[in-house]
Amino acid sequence: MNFNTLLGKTKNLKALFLTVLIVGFTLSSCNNKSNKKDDDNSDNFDRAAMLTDVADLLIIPNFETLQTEVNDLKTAIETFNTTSNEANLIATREAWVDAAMAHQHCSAFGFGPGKLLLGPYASVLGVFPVNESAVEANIVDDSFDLPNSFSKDIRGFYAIEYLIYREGLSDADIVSSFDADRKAYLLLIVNELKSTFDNIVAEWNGSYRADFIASTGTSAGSSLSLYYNDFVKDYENLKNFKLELPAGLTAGFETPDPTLVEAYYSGISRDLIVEHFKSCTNIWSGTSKDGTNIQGFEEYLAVLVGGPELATQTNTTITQIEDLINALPAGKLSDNIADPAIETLRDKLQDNTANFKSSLSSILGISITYSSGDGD
Amino acid sequence: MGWLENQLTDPILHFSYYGFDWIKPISETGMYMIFIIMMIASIFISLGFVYRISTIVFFLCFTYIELIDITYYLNHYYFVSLVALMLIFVPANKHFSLDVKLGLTQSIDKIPSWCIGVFKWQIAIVYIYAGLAKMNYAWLIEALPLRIWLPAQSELPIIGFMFEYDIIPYLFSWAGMLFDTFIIFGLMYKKTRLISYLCVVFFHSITGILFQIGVFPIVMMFGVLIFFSDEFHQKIIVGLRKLIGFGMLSSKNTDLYSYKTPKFFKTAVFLFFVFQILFPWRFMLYSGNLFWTEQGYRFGWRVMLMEKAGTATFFVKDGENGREGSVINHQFLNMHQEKQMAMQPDLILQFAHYLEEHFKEKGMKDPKVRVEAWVTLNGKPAQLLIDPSVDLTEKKDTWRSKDWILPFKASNAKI
Repeated sequence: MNFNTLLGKTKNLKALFLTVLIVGFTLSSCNNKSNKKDDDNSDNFDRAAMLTDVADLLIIPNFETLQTEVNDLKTAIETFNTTSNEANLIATREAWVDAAMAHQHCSAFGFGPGKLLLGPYASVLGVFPVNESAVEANIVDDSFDLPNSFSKDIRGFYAIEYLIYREGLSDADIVSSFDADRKAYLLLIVNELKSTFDNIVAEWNGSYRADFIASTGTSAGSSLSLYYNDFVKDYENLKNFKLELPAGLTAGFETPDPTLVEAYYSGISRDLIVEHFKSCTNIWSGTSKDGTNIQGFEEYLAVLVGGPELATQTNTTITQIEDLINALPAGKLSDNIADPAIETLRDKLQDNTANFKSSLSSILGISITYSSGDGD
Repeated sequence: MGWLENQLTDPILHFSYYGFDWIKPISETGMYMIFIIMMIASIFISLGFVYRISTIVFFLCFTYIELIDITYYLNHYYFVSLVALMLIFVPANKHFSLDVKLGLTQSIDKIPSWCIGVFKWQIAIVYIYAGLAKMNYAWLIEALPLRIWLPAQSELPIIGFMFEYDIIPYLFSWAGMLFDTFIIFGLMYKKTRLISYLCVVFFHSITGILFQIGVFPIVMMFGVLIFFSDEFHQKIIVGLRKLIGFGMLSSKNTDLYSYKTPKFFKTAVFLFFVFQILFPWRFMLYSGNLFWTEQGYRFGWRVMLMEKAGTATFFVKDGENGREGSVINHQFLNMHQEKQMAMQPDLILQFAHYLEEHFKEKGMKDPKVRVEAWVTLNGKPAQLLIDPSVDLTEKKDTWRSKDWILPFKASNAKI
């Protein structure tokens, strides 16, 4: 090989190198320009910061509130059991309402410590309708063993509600219905609630918080994937089980069934729906229960392909849903279960499901299952 | 409560491949048995032991499992089935095998070139078609879906930081397209083979780290070794023989593999590849956006090509009294099935037909089923995939174009 050909080769290589450099530079500068806007919002979203916010300002405080309310409920029940009178019954009911409201702000966190042996806590302790006859049978069954029971419709918040509200009985009758067995069952149920939430709070304040924040990926099983999946399930539960099913809007159901609403005995279903949806929007927008803005899905979307459009569309739908929730007839939901306002609300919640369920995970790149498809 | 139960035996219904709806899962124990048999067969194939029977058994077991539910469809599974099918017909047990050692077959040193050629053709088809599939506007010009997928991986050690840069998805998109399209040509020639192979290892390692694609990267890294020279493979065999002390059988029979390839067999191989070369192009017979309608999408080596997701709500109307109610999908489907079904028109139709039967059994005389399926493609705002006014119980899945799929509207929204 003589000097000239070597030089020729070097020249060719140089030219090639230069071309690559120019093309690369042009491409990258084009991008810098088009992404100027993103840079301002900090180009790469900090998932660790979001998870920290979510743990410290949303999940943990919400569970702590619920823990406090459940402890208050336990105290009220103990007082009632000692001194059974109408005043203490009413105090117990008030404590129960507070706990049920706080539960709405936690039901979406059924992963990690929130997942019990029998499933996400809300699917174990937040089950309605209550199986009344099973509860009555358990009360008189001396061998009944709650920790070893797999039944979900005989325990939790709504079993307590059934016991302290009792349809068709006067307050005086309810008070006098509480014999030793019934008091024992009431205490048994509230003790399970107490130990569950004491435990969940302890675990979140223990090592789980660090694990949660450290898992910054987007694959199946990552914190974001768990948090997201449960958020969507919780949202769908609101639509499916708190509205659609009792209103008879589920395929195969001929007529509305008012007894299927959440909190049938106390009649606070409507208030719980308001709280539940507030919890959903808090998770979506990244808002703590006291209204502080934190890093949420909405902030995350702002820096992603197609994200701002989805955020706008979702926020529009959310406003419409809030209006429709306000338009629900006042009073007991079970008294108005055939009201067309329920179907209108259901339809709007349905419209928003795709935003939360498929569009959001798609844009965030979250894997919701361990198996993959080619078309993913 | 493992993968097998969750995917194969627990689901109430399975989505079938067109024409294969007669394939059903058997009992849980039976399914476990099939997996055990399949494992034994694959070990036997590696050892070259009762080879012909083992390959047939493996092919049948694997393909059976694959055909149970189309929502688990992956191009990789299709590839494994095709390779298993071809293995049945090549004499891979006639050298350095237990069959030879035990005298079950005669040892030979040479085989007709088609025995290796078929695998090279197969691998070439996979790569080149995967490359051609990437030559589209979204992949090359918009760097989609990588612009969605890569930023989600920014937490990865060592390489994660890259995905914060906007240029990376473009580089990956173009590199991926060029790699897939041209790697075979690099592997074909001795001069470029080694560097091409290093590219193969690098490319598949990266995609293996980034995406949930299971065993596929390993399969390809080892599979493409077929392009290396016979001396190269001879060295591996000699090395392995020494390692396990498998006796240096100096085979005296250096005859060509004596199998007289029958004429019909040549025709069959020819048709096999003609089919594979033509079948992926069938999408051209359908109108509309291929990624949107997915008519002619599968079996075309379109791998990890789009980010698509949907939410499908089914409404069942009692034809007698006009009452309509919606369906809670997860009462019938597992999460994976629901996710896959919601964005693929033929699966939506299958589920609609299942619902029709289900509600007929429940006593509804004339159920009508419609769907509102909101689907997002590559991060674009969701659109309706299916005409929500169409009663799907009246539609049949055929090779004809599905007129109940709504066209994809390319939005003007700049993303």
